Amino acid sequence: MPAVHVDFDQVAVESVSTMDTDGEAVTDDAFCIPVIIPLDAVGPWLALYDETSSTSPSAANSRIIARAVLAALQAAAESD
Amino acid sequence: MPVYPVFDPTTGASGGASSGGGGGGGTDGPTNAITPEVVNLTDGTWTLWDDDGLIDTTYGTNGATFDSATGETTIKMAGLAAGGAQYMPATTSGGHFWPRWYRAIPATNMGTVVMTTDLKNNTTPAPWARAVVCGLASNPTSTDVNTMDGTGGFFRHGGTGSNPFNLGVWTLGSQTSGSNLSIVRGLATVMRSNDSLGSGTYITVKADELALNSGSRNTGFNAGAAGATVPVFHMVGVGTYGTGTIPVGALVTMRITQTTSIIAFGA
Repeated sequence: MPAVHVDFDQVAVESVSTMDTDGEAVTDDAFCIPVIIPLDAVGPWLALYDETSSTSPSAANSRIIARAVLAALQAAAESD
Repeated sequence: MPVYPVFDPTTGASGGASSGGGGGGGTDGPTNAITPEVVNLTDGTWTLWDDDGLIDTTYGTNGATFDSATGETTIKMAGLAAGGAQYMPATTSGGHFWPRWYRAIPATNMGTVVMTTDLKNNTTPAPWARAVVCGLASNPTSTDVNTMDGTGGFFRHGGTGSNPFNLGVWTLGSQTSGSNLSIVRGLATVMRSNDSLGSGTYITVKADELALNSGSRNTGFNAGAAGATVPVFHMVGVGTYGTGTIPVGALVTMRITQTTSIIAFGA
C-alpha cells in the first residue's frame, strides 16, 4: 500500500477560512490535520483513485488514509 | 545586511528613527530592538479606498479617529443593507470590495519585506460581525484577490457576546487564526520576498499576557507579478465576518501596531 503520514506536531485547532478542493468556501473552527503523501507515493495513490466512480477508492484503500487522519484526530482531541 | 526601520516611531516620518535617540528604531547589527509604530489612519499618510461607501467619511478624518492616549483607532461605518462575500476579507468569492486605507512604503515585491502587526480589539463598541486586516498589498485598490496580493494580521468577531475572538493571519482571501473568548490581542508576522507572497505566523495573547494559540498559513502564491517589479503598500482594511449587514454607525475600535522591515540581502 502507498504510504501516508500525518505531520502530527502541526495538528492544531484553528479557525480557518479557505477554499475546499471543489472550490467551495469553507469557514470553520476545526482541527487542521496536515496529511503527508510522500512524492513517490503520489502515483500509486492516484492510480487507486477514479474521480468518476462513487465507489473509488476501495474500502480497503480508503481506510488507510482515513485511519491515519482519524488516529491523529483522536490523539489530538484526547490531548487537547 | 542591516535592517532598516521604515518609520520613525516617534513622528511617523519615513526613513526610520532620527539619529541621536529619542524614540527607538533599530541599529545595524545582529539584532535590532524596534519600537513599533502605533498606526494612526488620520495622520495624513493614508488614502481611503471605499468604492461601495461602507465608511462614514463624515466621521473624523475619512471615517477614522485616533486617540493618542490609548493608541486606538476608531472607524465608523456608514452601514450596509445588503451584505455579500465581496465585503469579506477572508474569502476569495466576489472579489475584495471591503474598504481599506493604504499608504506607500519604500518596498517592492522583489525585496524582502517582513511585517509584524499587533491587533488589540476594544470591546466597548457594540459588536457587529466584522473583520479587520492590517498588512501588505501589491495593489490595495484592486478588487481582484490575486492582483491585490495581500497578507497580514487578521481579526474578526461574529458580532454577539458569545462569539469567540479570532486573531491570526490573513493571506489573499483566506485566514487561519486562533479562536477563543479569552484572546485579547493577536500578533502576526508575514514575510514576502522575491515575488512570493510568502507565509505568515501568528500568536494570540490573553489578558494575563500569556499566549493561547499559535499557528501559520502559507500563501503558496509565488510569481504573483510574473517577475515584474511592483510596489508594495501598507494596508488596513475593515469588512464583514460573513455575508451579513452592517448597522449604520457601527464602530470598530482597535489599537493597531506594526513594524515593517525592508531587508536587502542581495543575490
